[in-house]
Amino acid sequence: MRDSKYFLPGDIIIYMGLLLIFLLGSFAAMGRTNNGSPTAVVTQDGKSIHRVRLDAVTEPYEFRVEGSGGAYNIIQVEHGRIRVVEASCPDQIDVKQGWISQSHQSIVCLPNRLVIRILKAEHEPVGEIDGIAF
Amino acid sequence: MGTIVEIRVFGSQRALDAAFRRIQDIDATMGRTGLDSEVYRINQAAGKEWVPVSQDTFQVVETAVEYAKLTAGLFDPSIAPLVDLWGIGTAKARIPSLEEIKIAQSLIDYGDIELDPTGPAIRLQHEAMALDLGGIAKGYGADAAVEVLKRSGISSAFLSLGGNVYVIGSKPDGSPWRIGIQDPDSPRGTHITVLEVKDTSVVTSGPYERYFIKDGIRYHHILDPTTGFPADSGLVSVTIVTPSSLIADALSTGVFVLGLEKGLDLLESLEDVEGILVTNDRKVYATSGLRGRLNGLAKGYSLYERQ
Repeated sequence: MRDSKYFLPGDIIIYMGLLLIFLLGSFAAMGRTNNGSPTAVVTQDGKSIHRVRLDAVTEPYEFRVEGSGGAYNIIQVEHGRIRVVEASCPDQIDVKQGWISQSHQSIVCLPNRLVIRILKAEHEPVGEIDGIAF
Repeated sequence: MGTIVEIRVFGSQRALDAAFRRIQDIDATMGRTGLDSEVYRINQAAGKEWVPVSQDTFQVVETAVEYAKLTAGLFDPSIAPLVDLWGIGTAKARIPSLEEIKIAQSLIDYGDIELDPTGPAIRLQHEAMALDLGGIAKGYGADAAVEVLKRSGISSAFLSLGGNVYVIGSKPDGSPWRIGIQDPDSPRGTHITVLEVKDTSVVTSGPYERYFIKDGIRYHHILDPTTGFPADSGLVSVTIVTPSSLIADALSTGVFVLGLEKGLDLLESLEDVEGILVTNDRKVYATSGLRGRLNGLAKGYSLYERQ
């Protein structure tokens, strides 16, 4: 019998490969989305599933991201910060990491192929305005 | 309408008061409930009798039906049963069952709205059918307020009816009004670009306005009558620039549901109507009349031209 059902010697290559693929995917998805104040982007399998301007959050909220085989993460968002509050993964690395709030910080949950990343705060001035259509 | 109305005029207080009264009056007439609501009366009489209505209500419903035709029913003023079912933006918001959605969908058909201009009067052909002018009454309110202001000799004003912008003339110093377009990633107040405009309405629709999140999925308020679900057309924002705010309201919803290609086709086919469409991968497309008129673009967005 093997001593761990999560980690087999040969798996390291597969894991590293997976990590690389979905990191590349999520960075590609996020590379073009850098605008204004710090924005958190949640990606799963490299696809952007949730975006939020952290400094614009007034009411805290949370939501659940489902993966395959019952995997899940519960993500909490507050003014200026974001974290994974609960997750199905055995290592709990994402939960232990706690809140992130600074540009370029990220939370990675490998088992659920989930990445939360905070984009650099940068403002593109487009001039003074008299009003805004929303 | 349940929205904040902001008017900045360069003229008399009297004109301003009259404009506000006009907006309140339209709100009371075209809301879904209330003693003065003609929409309530029309809905109550659905499948039964004709309901005499004001010129205001008649004009709004007549225009709504016209634009429902143009958008092949993707904008439809008889969408009320579906709106009520989802309750998005209310405390009762929920994901309905497919069966409930099917029933609500079967009641939506702008072709079953009967209009009698001689009354004027309106009748809905089937029981349980209902009108919801919530999406367009704001636009009509803006148009009507502008009319009141202009009649009082106002030649420069900025109006915003819950984000529906209308500008009269140019700014008092003669320069054009600079109107920001809401960033779809931000709840409110940040813009992605600026348009310089005179004598026009600027209306933006997006899924960020009203929504709820369930299991990581965002359910927003722009419903697609053909699927019964929130529209999933690949767009995150549609801005319409045209002198009628009522038409801008109807088109912003219709184009949002239509999606990029068909939406641009429709806008290009209309006189005096321009638009800015933003896709969910942050590509920004403008109609030919606005090309070169977008002042800057927020980081992360890029301007594209249709091939």
